[in-house]
Amino acid sequence: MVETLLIIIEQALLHFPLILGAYISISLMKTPDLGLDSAYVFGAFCAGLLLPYTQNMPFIISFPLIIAASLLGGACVGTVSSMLTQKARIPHLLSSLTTIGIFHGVIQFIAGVYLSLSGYTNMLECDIIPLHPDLPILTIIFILCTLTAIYFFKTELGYCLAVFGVNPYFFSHYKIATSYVFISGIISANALAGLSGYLFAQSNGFADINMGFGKLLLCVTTLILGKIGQNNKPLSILIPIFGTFSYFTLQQLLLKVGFDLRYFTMVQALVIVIILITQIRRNANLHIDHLGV
Amino acid sequence: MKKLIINDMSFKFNKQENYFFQDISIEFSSGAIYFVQGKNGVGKSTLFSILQGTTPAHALLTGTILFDTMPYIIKNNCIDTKLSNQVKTIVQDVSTMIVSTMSVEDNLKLAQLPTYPRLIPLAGTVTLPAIMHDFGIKQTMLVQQLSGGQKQILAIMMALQKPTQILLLDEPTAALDEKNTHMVVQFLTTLAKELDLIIIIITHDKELTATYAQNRTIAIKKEANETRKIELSS
Repeated sequence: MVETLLIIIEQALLHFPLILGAYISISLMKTPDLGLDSAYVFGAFCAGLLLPYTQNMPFIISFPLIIAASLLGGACVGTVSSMLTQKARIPHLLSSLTTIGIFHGVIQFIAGVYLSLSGYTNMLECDIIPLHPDLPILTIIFILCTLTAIYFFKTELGYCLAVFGVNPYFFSHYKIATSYVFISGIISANALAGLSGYLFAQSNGFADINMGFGKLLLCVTTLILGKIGQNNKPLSILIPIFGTFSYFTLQQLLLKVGFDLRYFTMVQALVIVIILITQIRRNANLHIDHLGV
Repeated sequence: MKKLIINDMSFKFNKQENYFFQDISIEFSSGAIYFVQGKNGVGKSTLFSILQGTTPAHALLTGTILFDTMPYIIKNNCIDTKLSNQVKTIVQDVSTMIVSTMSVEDNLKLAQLPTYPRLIPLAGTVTLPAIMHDFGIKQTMLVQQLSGGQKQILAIMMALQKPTQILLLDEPTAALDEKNTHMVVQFLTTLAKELDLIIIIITHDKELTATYAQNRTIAIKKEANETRKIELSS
């Protein structure tokens, strides 16, 4: 029981930055940000490539450097997709698809399709919990992400991201730069996805070009689960937190009853469909935004 | 009392075309509401875009403009930004100017934001102008709870959160019933006097003009050579 609980917490903490990023771009900004997929992979590769150069540095320097590399990697993907949307006027669905293609090539060019991290010091390891040595540092990252998000959602820019999702035309009436708001939001969301990619790669000992597969469906399922019981409150950090923990609890429960995880993607899709149909039946006037989140 | 004086203003959309407006001279005084009337396509919105400083790049605009005795030059075929920055426009569909899921207070705070929103907390408190209380609008109300007229009033107050001298409204009462129309015009009349504003309204509602215009109707008419003539009733 305790072991299952620790697995749920570990998985939730590894994915939390990605879900928080998806909450910003998909849920708050109502943008089909497919680029999160690429940001997740590119963040992992950027941090992984820097890892050998930080081996002789003290942890207090090397760890922030690695985290910064993963955030920057994700931010690069966000910059490209959001600039294509705002400056080249390509709809974001298309610009993020194009960005995925671009970074698929960039990653293979600079690092190949697979990057092993096993020969280097595991930055997440700490001996307090022997079977789950990465839990203490993951918890610290989770707390830092949560506190930063709580502050961010109260700032001028944080409010603007929520406004963008409700009324993207608002800014032009008050001489506020719409492109600045959009680009900042997408960069922040993708940077978080990059961090999550690194955490996942470090925990597994490798980064793989296909490690982002299915992550977007995970994000959407998690956010829909997180929205249950939140009464559509704008700017609630509880949505990604509640969603992430519910998702991995559901996954572990299915494993416990002997479910084959090969079919879990199908379960996610069914969970989305069931929740949306139930919600629509309860309230016929319910406005389901695209992607349902 | 401040005056906006436009002298010998001429405008055309591009150099090859005939003049759209030619040698127009008109004067607006603060503390009053002016009603602009004319058929669709006659040039009401063009007059607004000249005042807002949003004329197309290839257009040609000449003339002299004085506001509060200060002359403002026409640069790059647009009114000087020092003046156009003080002109605020309320569009016909005010739903694009407000955030329906947030409170009246949050909307007023958002309207004060700078061009580049910062990573500092959104302004702590906003004092709701007394005039809004008179029209049944409370600070904590959600925008969804407001009537059509109250939404118009909120959008107007949001536009006024940044320095404003001239307020332009494009058919503000088109989607409102009689009661709400009366409420919005009453509000604008009070506002023009209290804040010493020049308010210019585009409207097709002849009844509204007859009731409130008091000899301040601007009629735009098309001449035989397609040039527009502007007449201020007196």
